[in-house]
Amino acid sequence: MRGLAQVQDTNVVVEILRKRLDLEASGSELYLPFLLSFTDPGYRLSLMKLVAGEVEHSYRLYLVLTSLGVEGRRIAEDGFNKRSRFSRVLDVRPESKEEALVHAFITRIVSLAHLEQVRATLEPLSSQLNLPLIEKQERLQLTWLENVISGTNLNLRHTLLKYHHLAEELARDLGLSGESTAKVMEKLNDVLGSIP
Amino acid sequence: MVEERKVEEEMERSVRDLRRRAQQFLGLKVEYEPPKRIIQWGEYTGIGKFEEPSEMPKEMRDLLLKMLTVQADTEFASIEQHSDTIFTAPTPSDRVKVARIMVDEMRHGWQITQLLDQFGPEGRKAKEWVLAVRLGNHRLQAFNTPFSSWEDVLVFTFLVDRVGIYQLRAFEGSSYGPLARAIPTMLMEEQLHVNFGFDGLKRMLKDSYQGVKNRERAQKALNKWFPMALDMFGKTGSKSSEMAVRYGIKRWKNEEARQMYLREVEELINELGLEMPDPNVGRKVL
Repeated sequence: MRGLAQVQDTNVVVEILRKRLDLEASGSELYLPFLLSFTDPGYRLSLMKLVAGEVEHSYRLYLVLTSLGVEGRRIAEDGFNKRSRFSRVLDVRPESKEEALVHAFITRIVSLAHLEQVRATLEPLSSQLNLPLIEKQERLQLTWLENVISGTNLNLRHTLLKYHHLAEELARDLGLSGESTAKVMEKLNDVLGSIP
Repeated sequence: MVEERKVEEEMERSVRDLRRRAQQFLGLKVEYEPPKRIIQWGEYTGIGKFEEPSEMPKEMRDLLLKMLTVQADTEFASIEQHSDTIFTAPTPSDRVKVARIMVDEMRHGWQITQLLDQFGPEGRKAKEWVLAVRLGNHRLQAFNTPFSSWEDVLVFTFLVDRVGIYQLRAFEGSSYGPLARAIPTMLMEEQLHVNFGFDGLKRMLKDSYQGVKNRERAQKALNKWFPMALDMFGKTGSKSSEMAVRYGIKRWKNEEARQMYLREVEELINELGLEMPDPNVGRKVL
């Protein structure tokens, strides 16, 4: 693998990939059960696309991790088979479709901030991971979720408040810098403020 | 008829021009299909396609609504059946494929519900039913049966999605324009699904370590889904089916389509080296 030779510290990269895999792989598990609860077929389609995107991203991460020796393979299998997650936030099971949407929204904001922070470190693997594509898809997922949360009558204010603390917790578990965490919380509060 | 032929020829010339000019000026090599604006078979052959349900006779509108309801039901139902597979498929690559299949089916369901919306209050009622119904209450038995193994998933996509292709092919060129135009993409995606099932079965049967056991498992799944797949075509001699052909909604009557399907799957089952189940055994819709 050409990119791998340029990786300075394999352990650091494996750790980042492990967390990314957990983030991506947990999505399908957490949101899929609510897919058919939506009475709007458009929401069903968008959520299904989000879940399929997560599965595809996990697969890319899985492939790269399995190429990183025995430890990488072990972590890849673990992540894909959801044996353990690095953050409790990814084990918080939404109890309704509204909670699923808000959970997805929060994890996406934090995930994008994380991608931004680790982009330079993962640069040598960028083509294998197809990072620009992952980032683009996640941004679009975020756009959809933001539109749903702030622009519909699902009344998600209460749910957003309930899950608000998860953003900080996930940011901490991912090792996000103070500045990035502040940006995440600012974004979250902006959306919260926009809900009528 | 001479005048109609002229219209067709003009359309074909336009399509040739479009293709040539796309290549010459835009550098695009694109294959365009002439749109079929005229009803191709049945009682209304030769007139412009129906674009609005309100243009149709009531009997035709009711029948089309019923058929679209069943079609939408199958799309959403298969997502329900596949939901667990996304976690249980044997390899990460299989999980990705299952996720893609689910997106396709969801989009097909969404597309058909858009058509249901055109049918006014009755269409909206049908749509509500489609979105609310769950496993056990779907219209067709094949969609009320949960998957209990990976070979169930493979045989389902190989056999049941293939029936879906026949249903879509029957709607290809339908006298209801919005439906006819929705078909081509759906057809290509369904073909991907049946290939996934067929290739998966081939891979499973090639596994030398578990060769015999895998063959038994595949055959068992084939025998389980085969009658349900054949039942999906509906009753032989059904009056509704005849009416659908007469109104140009679909191309073939139930039994005609079932026989074509049987010829195709027999060849594929032989290629897999499995035994062709008896088409009269286990059937519930005759």
